[in-house]
This record gives sequence, structure tokens and C-alpha cells, in this order.
Amino acid sequence: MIHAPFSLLLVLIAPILAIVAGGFLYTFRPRLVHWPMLASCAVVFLAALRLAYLVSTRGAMDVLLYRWAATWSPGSSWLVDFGLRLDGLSAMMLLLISTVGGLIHLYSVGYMEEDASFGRFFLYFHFFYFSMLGLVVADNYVQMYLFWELVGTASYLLIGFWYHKDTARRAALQAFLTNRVGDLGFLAAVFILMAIVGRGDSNFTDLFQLGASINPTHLALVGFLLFWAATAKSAQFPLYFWLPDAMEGPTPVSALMHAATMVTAGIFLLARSWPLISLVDGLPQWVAAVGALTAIGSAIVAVTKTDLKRILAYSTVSHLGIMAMGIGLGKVGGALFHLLTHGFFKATLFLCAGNIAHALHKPTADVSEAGGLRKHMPVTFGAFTVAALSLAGVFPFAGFFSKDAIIGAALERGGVMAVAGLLIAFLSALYIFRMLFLVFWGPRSWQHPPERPHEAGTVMAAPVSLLAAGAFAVGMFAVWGHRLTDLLLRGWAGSAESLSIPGFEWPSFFAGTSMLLFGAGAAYFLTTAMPDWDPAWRASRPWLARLFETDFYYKSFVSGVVDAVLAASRAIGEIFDSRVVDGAVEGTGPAVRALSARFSAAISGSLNDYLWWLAAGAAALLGLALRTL
Amino acid sequence: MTAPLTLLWTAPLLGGFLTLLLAGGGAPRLPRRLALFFATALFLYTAAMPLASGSFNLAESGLDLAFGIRYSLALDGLSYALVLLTAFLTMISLLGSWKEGHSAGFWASFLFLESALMGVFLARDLFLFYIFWEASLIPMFFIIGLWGSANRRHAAVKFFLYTFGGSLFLLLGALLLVNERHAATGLWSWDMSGLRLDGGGPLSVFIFISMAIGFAVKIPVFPFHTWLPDAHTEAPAAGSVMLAGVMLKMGLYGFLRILYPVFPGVGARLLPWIGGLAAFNAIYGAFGAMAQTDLKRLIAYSSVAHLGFCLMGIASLTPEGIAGGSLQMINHGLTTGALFLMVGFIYERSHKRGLSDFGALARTAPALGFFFGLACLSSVGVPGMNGFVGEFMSLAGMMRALPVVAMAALLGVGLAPAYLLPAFGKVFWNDPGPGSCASKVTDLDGRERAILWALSGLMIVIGVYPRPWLDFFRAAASRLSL
Repeated sequence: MIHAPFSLLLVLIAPILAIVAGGFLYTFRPRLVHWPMLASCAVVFLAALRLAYLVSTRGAMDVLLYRWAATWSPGSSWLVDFGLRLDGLSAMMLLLISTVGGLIHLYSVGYMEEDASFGRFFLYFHFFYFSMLGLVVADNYVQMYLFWELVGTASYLLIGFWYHKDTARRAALQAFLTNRVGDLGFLAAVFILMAIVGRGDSNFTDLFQLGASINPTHLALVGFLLFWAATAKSAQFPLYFWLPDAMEGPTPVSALMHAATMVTAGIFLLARSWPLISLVDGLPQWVAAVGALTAIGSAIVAVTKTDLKRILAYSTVSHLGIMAMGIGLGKVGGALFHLLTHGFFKATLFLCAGNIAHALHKPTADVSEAGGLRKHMPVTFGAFTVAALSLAGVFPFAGFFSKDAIIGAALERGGVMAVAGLLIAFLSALYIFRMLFLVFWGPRSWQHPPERPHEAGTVMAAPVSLLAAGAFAVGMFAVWGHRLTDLLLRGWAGSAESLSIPGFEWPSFFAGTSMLLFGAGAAYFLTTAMPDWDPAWRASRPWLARLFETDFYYKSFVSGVVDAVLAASRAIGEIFDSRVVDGAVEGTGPAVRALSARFSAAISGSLNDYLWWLAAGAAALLGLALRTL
Repeated sequence: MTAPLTLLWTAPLLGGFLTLLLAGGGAPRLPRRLALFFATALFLYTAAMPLASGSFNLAESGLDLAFGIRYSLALDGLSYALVLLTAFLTMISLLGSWKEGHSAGFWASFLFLESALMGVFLARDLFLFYIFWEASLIPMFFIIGLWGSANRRHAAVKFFLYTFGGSLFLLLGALLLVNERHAATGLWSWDMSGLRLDGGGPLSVFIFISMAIGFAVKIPVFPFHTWLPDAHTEAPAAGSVMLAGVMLKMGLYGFLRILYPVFPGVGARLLPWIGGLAAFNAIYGAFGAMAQTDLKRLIAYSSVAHLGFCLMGIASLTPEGIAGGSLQMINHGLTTGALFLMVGFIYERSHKRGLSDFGALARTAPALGFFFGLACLSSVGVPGMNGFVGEFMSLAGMMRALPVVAMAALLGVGLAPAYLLPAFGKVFWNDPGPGSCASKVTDLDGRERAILWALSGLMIVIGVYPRPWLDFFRAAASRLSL
């Protein structure tokens, strides 16, 4: 029997029904496919609100749905149950996904209006959204892995949505395969956990209770493997490189992927697994180090990019690094808080970039094509500015509070982490203000108009404005009421301390804000005061341009690995298999024939030959007989 | 019906003869209709069997023949699953080649094949098993050799000689086994259930390995796999469906039905070897598939990889591994069957099957693109579909038996999308190049869609709720696990 709140079931049922209904509609009314999806988004949003309320009043709950797989034999039972886990963490994720995801659905109606594959887009898009919802309410690792892979599959379909573009096909494949490399870590971790527990039916609650009793070596292996999985989905070094290329999909896909689904999955996994990860010696430090390295490296690259969506993509990698760093520093609450605010401001930024591209009638835009747009697109400009200030961490925008929590922790830790924290604050401000100045002010005002760039229509402008409002306000509500910490504490298996989010503190405010001012000032100086500096260094120092273009030669290394695998497959499939293995088989035919030819030569049909053979035989027999005598 | 199991293999045999006999009447459509009638009726009968009797455990033993050979048939969960798969895929194969305009012999061959396969999965007498085992080669030899593509003769002869050669090892093992039993008990008997050689002496290891080679050729296990790409590539689509869907499973069935029950001790001792070889198969097949430029050859190599996962699960000798590996046999039949059928549909329209002969089919033939993409995802092992369940459980089983092997096999999991998705991309997404035949590939018609809905529906149902399907293998899993 299922004793689940109806709203919890709705979170999964509504999208499934919408996809089925959309599938039917697709065959005869593809232009209407978005209606069931929008209805489902509304239902899921209301359900998420209700669930957040339920969790904060009644606490966490585990619901058994059905027994997915089982085998039985005397003395051992192996089974996997599917269930739903509702606690503060999943409630927060549901709120984020349903709010941001729902608004991006609405935006897509406008953005994709003229696309011939409008219906197909909504089917894939909603499937993506559904997979992520399933991931956050999963109540054991097997089920989570299932949705984890579905998220990857949906991203493959959406990144490759415009498959007539060569770059889109490649990016889709790269995203899927890179994520698969990460997934193997997840899968291995699941198998090790199953082997440890001896059965497959442990939900998170039971598993985390075992936590400390697990053999430390096994636990460390599981922890590192789970983090490996997170580096793929959440785009951390060394598996981050798929994400910047993934912007080949339509802009709403990038927005959804960067803000609410996909890349948040890895951070979610780390937060979910924190009760295990925190037990492993050295792992949190490792997570923090990888996060800091990723955050700094990608922020530097973001400063050098000129494509709007690419700047934002590297910025996402950087911010995910900040979140990983926060988790590694033991500030899971701070990291999740940043996940939430980042969802709002990054969705806004992407959708603004989409508005600009849409206005220019291009799939994506370069900073050299934009410029001076603030007068033509006032709503987009306003929303972008709010989100940019939030990203840079300007008080009192939402991003300030969440980033402050992590930078505060980094300063507290001191040493390299403190330097990293300050450097990230500086670089974030630098790249986002650079983008703001280049796009909306810009020395080059918008040059070759086929027609004047126009502001986006209401169906696109309204969601952007709402998201921008969130990018401003979410931080304040969450921190000053300590509501988020309270919510997350429901059903939390880790220490309460790891969830605490510090309020406003002067030292980190001064540190962060001064770095921010340096960054903004530098951005102003390099774009507006010295407009020729950016093209100049690229032209005069090609090696430097190449260094940034290849992400410090890391991308060249990756393509070398891919080439090696392909070469191995050719060596095995084309040469070894067909010449050696099959060659031996095919060789048996001619060999038998040659052998029979050899023998048939003896049967010459000439009496003379036979007599010689006879004589030889007789001589041999005689010799034998003589020896035995 | 007093002899329901006998009916299972005699009905298609009779149907085959009828199809041949009535073909001379000048009605060209009669043979295929008759064949489809028999195949459908048999499928419905098979599907209804457990519903009628409430269980899929049935036994039927008839007369004693000479030298201790006994005509005995039985059905249990494992056999039933494969019998049902055979009946289902035979029906699908006939429907799938409905418009290919073949002569009566083609349609009859599939019924003869079905009859032999039913016999293989039902026989409980080693000699009877061997007869059916060899009999299945004959119709397949003709299907490849007469109705295949350009290089069919060579492929058919290679298929026949290779697998026949493999069967000799099986026969040798069987003879030694029966002789050994005679030495121990003084009885001549080929009855499978009574055969058991527990001692791990060199002779039992020798018999085990000899029979295992016979089965390994069929599965196929490296280095005995090279007949498979040729046979698959040259066979007509429906032949590939039966070959991959059912005939490869005969080898695994041999492991489950004969080797592990007869030699429990040897099976456990050789676990690292068989498991390691199976994992190697999974990786090797993937690398082989990556290098292919012919769609059918690529899918054939993917079969080598998938069957590696099946064998690995079974060889782990854990309940979840055996159940998962066995379920993966069914999954592979459905998924690879669907893929081969679709390649057949494409070939029928364009007479090409190279990866670079097409492009952007997703735009010109969207339904085909949808089903092909779905089957690729199932084959890749995306969760929520059938392929994941079997792969996952096989790996989970091996993880408990021998973690190193399972970890190595993960590489095979990682490589699966690396050959299937680029192939899908080339055929369905890429821009068609010069000389492309993409324009000849029209979208699926109603018959083809219905077939693919049936297959895809099963892929999703098994993926979302695999438990009832695992029940088929519950008895085997608990009996054979260590």
C-alpha cells in the first residue's frame, strides 16, 4: 500500500501524463504539444509548494512505491525497491526545479515559436524536467542512478536538438559520453554499496545509519567514486569540458540545464551523500580543492570568451566549483543556498542571452555583434543587470548572501582556500561586468541592422522578469528568516552544523565586496576605457589566445585520449579481429584444400609410382623386422 | 491437449510441411499466410499455456528409445521464457519480411527453425537435445544461403561448418559424460536431470571445457565469434532476428541447463576464467563494433558485447547475476531483434546498409528515427528500458562474486554508447553526403510500426517493472547459485 501525500505522487505522475498526452498530440497537432506540459509545470509547482509546507510541518518521509527487481534464494535475498524520499533537501530542489523550470517552459513557448520542431522540443524538454524531478525524490542510489542517466539521455537529445548542425551533433555525443564516464563511477559505487549491505534494498535512511560501521576503505572508495560521478554531471575538473560545448542546444535548454537540471544533479548528489562523504578522511578537502581549481580556471577562461553563451557556460562551471568548494569546506547549507540563487540568476542571464540572440535572429550571439543594446531592449537590460549584480555578489542581491556564506567559510579556513575565495570573487565580477558593458553599453554600438533589434514579446519577457526578481530576492528571504536551514534540517542525516548559513558578517562583506569592486573596475577599464585592448592582445599574442582557447591545453589532451580510443578500436576491429582471429578461421579452408592437394599428388595414377611406394614400404617393414630380431 | 509440449515442436514442423506442399497451387500469397497463421497460433498458444494451467512447470516423458535415450520434454520458467521468445520472434520475423516476396521455402524454413528451437529448449534428454541442436542449423543454413545478400554462400558455409565443428565438441563431451555415468552406475542414460559429476577430477574438467567450447561457439565467445558478423551481415533481416534473438541464446541455455547443473564444482572453480572471458567479450565486442562501417556488422558486434554481459551474469553464480543474465537474453532478443528488423526495412528500401550511405533520416523518416533511437538507447543500457536491468543485475552479481571482473566489465558499459550513438548520428542526424540513398528511405508503414510498437512496448515495460519477468528465472537462479 502506498501512503504517500498525493502531491508527492503528482510530482512524477503529472509530467508522465503530460508526456503521454503530448506524444498523442504530436502526431496530429504538434503546435499544441506545449499545453499539457505547461499544465504539468503548474501542477508540479503547486505540489512542490505543498510538499515544502508538509516537510516543514510534519518532517521527512520515505514512501515505498513498488519492488522493482528481486531474486530469491535460500540464505540471501537481493532486491531493489523504488520509493520516494521527501525531506528538506528534496523539497528545496523541487521548489527550485519547478519554479525555474516552469518559467523556462513558458519562455520556450515564445522562443521556439518559429521552430519547425516545436512539438518535439517540448516532448524532450519536459522529459528532461521529469527526469530531474525523479532524481531529487529518489530514495535510494539505484533509483537515483536511473534518473541520473535519464537526465543525461534527455540532455543528449536536447543538445543535439538542432542535429543539422555538425557542432550540435558533436556536442551532444560529447556530453553523453563524458557523462557516461562519470556514470561508471556512480555505478561502481552503487555496486560496492550493494555488496557491502548484502542486498539492494537499502534506502538512504537505512544506508546512512550504517555509515560509520562500513569498512573505511570501502567507504572511501564509494565516496571518491560518487564524487567522480558528480564531476561529470556538475562539470568539475577533469570532466567539465562537455558543458561549455553543450550550449549548442536551443537557449532554453542551456538555461534549464545550467540553472535547474543536469548540472545541479552532481551538487545534489554530493549533498545527498554528505553523511557518507563526511566520514571519509581527506575527501572533503579533496572536493574543496577540485572545486576551487575548477572555479578559478573556468573563471579565467570566461574572461577571455566572446560568445555570450560561452561566457555564461564557463561562469556556470566556475559557480559549480564554488558550490563544490562550499561542500568540501563543510558548508553544505551554503552550497545548496548558492545552488538556489545561482539557479535564478543563471537562468535569467541565459534567457537574456536568448532574447539577444532572438532579436538578432541567430542561435547564439557574439559580444562583437551585440553592444549598446540597453536602449533597444530595456526589459532584457534590466533583468540582465539584476542577475549580473546577483552573480557578482553585490549587496543586497541574492547572490551576495549565498556567495558570502562560502567565501566566509573559505576565509575562516584560511591559507590557499582564502586566496581562492577572494580570487573567485574578483574574477566573477570581472567577467560578468565585462559582459554587461560589452553587450549593453559597448564602444561598438550595434552596427549592421537588417532591422532594429526588438525587445522580446511578453511570453518571453514575463518569465525573465520574474526570474530576475528571484535573482534579487531569493537570498534575502532565505537568509534573514533562516528558513532554508530550517527546511534542509528536516530529515538531514549529517551534522546540523554543516547546514548552518551565516547571516550578514562584516569581515566577509568587506573582503567580498572589495574584490567585487576591483573586478568591476577592471572590467570597466578593459572594455570601456580601453576598448581596443581585447582584440589587441589576441592579435599580438596568439599563443596566449590559443592557451585560453584550449582551456590551458586541457582540451587538446582530451581529444588525444579520444583519438587513442578510436585508434584502439580500429586496431582491434579492423586489423586484429579480421586478420588474426578471423584470418585463422578463414585460413582453415585453404589449409585443408592445400593439404588434400598435397595428398592427392601422391595418388598419381601411375603404376610405376605405386610400385616405388610399395618397395619403400616393404623396405621399411623389413628394417623394422630386422631391428626386433 | 494431452501432449502440449510435443505440440510445441510438432505444430511448426507440420506447418512448415503444409506451407511447402500447398505452395504449388499457384496462389503466391498462400505460403506466407499459412506460415504466419501457424506462427501466430503457436505464439498465442504458448502465451496462454501458463494462464490455463496456472504454472509454467510441465513435464512430459514418453517412450524409451534405444541406448538409454528417452523422449522426454519438460517446461520450467527458464525454458518457458525462451520458448515464448522463440514463438514471439518467429511471428515478428515473418511479419517483418511480409513484403519481401520470397518463395514458399523461405516461410517454411522459419517454421522448421522454430520447431528445432522449441525442441532445444524443451528437451530433457541429452541426445534429444543434441538432435534438435543440430537440426536448427539446417533451416538457418538455407535462410542465409538462399535468401541472403551478395556474399551469402560463403557466410552460410562458414556458419554451418563453424557451428557444426563446435557441436562436435559438444557431442564429444556428451558421449564422455554418458560413458562416465555408465561406469559409475552401470546404467545407460542420457537423462539430463540425473546427470551430475561432482568430483572435480581432470576428466570432468575436460568434459566441461569440451562442452563449453561447443556452447561458446554459439554464444559466441571470443575467439570463436568471427562467424557471427559474416552470418548476420549476409542473412536476410528476419534471419538475423532469429539468429541473434534466439539462436545465440542456445549456447547460454546450454550453460544454464547442462553445464552448471551437471558440474557444479567445476563451474565454481572455473568462475574466474569464464567470468573473465565474458567480461573480455563485453569489451572486445564494443571495440569491434566501434570500428565497423556497416550497420549490420556493427549490430552483430554489439551482440558479441551484450552476450558477454549475459554470460558474465550467469557465470557469477549468484541469484541476481543468473536472473539478470538470463533476463538479458530476452532483452537482447527484443532490442537487437528490433534493430536488425529496422536495418532490414532500410535495406529493403535502399539496398544499402553502410553508415555513410544515409543521412538525416530522422527528418525524412521520423517514425523510423524514433524507434531506432529508442532501440539504441535500450541497447546502450539506458535505465528505464530493458537493457539496463539485465546489465545492471549481471554486473551486480559479478561484483559479489569477483569484483575485479565486474569493474573491468564496466568499461564495456562505458563503451556501448561510443559505438551506437555515433552510428545513430551518422544515419539519422548527419547531413546526407553525395551519393546518399537517404531519399529512398521512406517512413515506416502501418505494419512496420505495429511490429516496432510491440517490441518497443516490451522494452519499456520490462525496464520499468522487471520483477515479474525475473520470476521466470527465479528457480534457475536459486538452484544454480553458489
